Amino acid sequence: MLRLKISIVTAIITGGILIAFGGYLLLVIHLIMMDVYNKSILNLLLAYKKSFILSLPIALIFLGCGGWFISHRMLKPITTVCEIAEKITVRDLNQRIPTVQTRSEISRLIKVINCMLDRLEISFNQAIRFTADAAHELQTPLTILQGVLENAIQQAIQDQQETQLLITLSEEVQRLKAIVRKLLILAQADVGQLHLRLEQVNFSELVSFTIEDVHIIAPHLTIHQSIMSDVKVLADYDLLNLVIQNLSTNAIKYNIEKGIIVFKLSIEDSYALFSISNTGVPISEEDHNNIFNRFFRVRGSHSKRIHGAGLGLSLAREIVIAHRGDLILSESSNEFTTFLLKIPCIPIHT
Amino acid sequence: MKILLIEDDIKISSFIEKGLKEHGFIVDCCEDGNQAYLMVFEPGYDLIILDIMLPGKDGLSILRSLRDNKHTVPVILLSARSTVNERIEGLNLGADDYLCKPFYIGELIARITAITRRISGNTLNLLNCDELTLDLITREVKIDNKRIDLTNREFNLLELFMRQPGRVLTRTLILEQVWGYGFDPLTNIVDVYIRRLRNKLNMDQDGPAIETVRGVGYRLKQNKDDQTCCD
Repeated sequence: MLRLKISIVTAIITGGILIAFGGYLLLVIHLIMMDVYNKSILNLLLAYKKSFILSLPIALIFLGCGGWFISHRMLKPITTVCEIAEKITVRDLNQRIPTVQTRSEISRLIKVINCMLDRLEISFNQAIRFTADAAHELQTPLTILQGVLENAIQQAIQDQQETQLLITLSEEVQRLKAIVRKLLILAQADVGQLHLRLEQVNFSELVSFTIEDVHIIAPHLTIHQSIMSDVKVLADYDLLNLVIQNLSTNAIKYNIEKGIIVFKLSIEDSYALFSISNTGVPISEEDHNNIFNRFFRVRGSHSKRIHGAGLGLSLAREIVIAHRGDLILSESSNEFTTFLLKIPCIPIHT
Repeated sequence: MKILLIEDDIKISSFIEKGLKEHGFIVDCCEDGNQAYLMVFEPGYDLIILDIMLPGKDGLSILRSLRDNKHTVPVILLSARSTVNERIEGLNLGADDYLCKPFYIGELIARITAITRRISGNTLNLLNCDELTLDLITREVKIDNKRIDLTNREFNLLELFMRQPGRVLTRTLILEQVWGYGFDPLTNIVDVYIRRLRNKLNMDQDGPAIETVRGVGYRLKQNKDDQTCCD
C-alpha cells in the first residue's frame, strides 16, 4: 500500500513540475513569437504544443513506474524486517535482523528492533534459568526430607504414635513433591521448554485403567462409559496419565452424593476426543474461564474440605496444548459438567 | 560391594549412606568435584553414584573422563534437573542409570541391584522371591510354575514389592510409584489393590506374602533369609 502511495505521489509531483515548466516555456516562446509574427515558426510551435500534450500521459506513466521501482528499493529493508521478525519465536530468539548499509531511518529501525530482541532474549533466558534453579533449590530439601523420613520409617515400630507422625509427614512431603512437580511443568510450559517424552500410547487402555481406579475410589458413584477401543495417540504417557487422573479426580470431588460420571472416548477427524461428565453444581458463567487459571478454586471448595491446590486444570490444559490439542469446558448445566479433551491421534491401520 | 558416593549436599549423602549401609554395602563419600575426579580412578569401587551438580568438576565431565580412560565401573547419575536432554546426555556419556531427585532409597537400591545383576550376567527380566517368579518382558507371574493372571496395575504393584523385598513401603510411596501424581494421597485405592493382589496370589503360609505393617504400610515378606533372593 505504502509503495503504491509513494509511486502515485512521485508521479503527481514530478508530473506537476513538468507541466508547469513546459507550460511556462510554451507561454514565453508564444509571446516572443507573437511579436516576431513569423508564421512558419508559429506552426512549429503549435506542433510542439500538441506533442507536449500527447506525450504528457506517457511521461506520467513512466514517472509512476519509476516511483514504483524506487519505492520498491526503498521499502525492501522493511519487507526483510517483516519476514525475519515473523519467523522469530521463543525457540530461536537469538536470530537478528541483518543491518543495511545506509544511514537512513530504516537502519535505525533495525537497530532498535535488534536491541529489543536482545533485551527479550536476556530476560527470557533468565526465566529459563530460574525454572532450572528453582527446580534444584526445591528438589534438594525435598530429597533430604524424603530420604530421612524413609530411613526412619524403615526402622519404625508398628502402632507407635511416632510412627503415625512419620507417616503423616511423609504424606505431606508427597503432596509437596506433587505440587513442586506440577509447578515445574507449568514453568517449563511457560517458556516453551516442556519436553515431552513422546511414545505411542494406547489411549483407550489408559482411560480404562482410570475408570477401574475410579470404581474403587468412588464406589458410591454410578459410572457410564463408551470407550472406543484401540485409540492410539503419540503422547507423553506420564503427563497424559496425569491429565486423565486429574479430570477424573475432579469429577469425583465435585460430584453430588450418588452422582454419575460419564466417560467417552472416540475418534473424529483424526482427533481423539475424550470427554468426562459429572453431575454436580454447575460452574457459574463468570468462572468458565477462571477454572483454567492457576490456584483458582471454585467458591465453596475451601470450606467443603475438597483437597487440592487449584493447579490441576491449568496444568492439564498446558499439557494438552503441548500435545497440539485442546481442553475445554464444553458443558455446564444443571445436569452435567463436561470437560472435552482432544489431541491428534494415530490413524488406525487395518 | 563397595560404592563410591559423590554428592555435595552432606544431608543427602548421609541418608543415602545410611540407607545403603543398612543394606550391607560399603560406602565411601566424597563432597567435592575435584577430589571426586581423583577418587573415581581408584581401583576397588564396584559402583559409583554421581551427582551432576558439584562444586569443582561437575558430574558429567567426571563421567566423561572416566569413560575416555576406558574405565567401565558402573555409574548411576543423580540430578535435580529432570530435563530429558540431561538424561540423554548422561546416558550417552556412558552412565548406566539416571535417577531424579527426589528419589526413594528403595528405588536407588533396586537400581543398584539391577545393574549388578546385569554385570554378573544374570538374566534381567526375571525377578524371584521364594516360589514367586515375575517375568518383566512377557509379564508373566508364576507361583510354583503355576501361571497367575494379573492386570497391568496389579503386575506393576507386585513388581514394586519384588524389587525391594523386606522393605516397608508406605501407601503414598506405592501410590506415587504405581499410579503417578494425579490422585489424592488420601484415597484407599492402594489398600483395595493390595487386597486383590493377595487374593489372586492366594499365598499359603510358607510362601512369600505381602504383610501389613500396621499404621505404616506394606512389606513383602520372604521366608528364606537369603540375601541373593530377589537380587
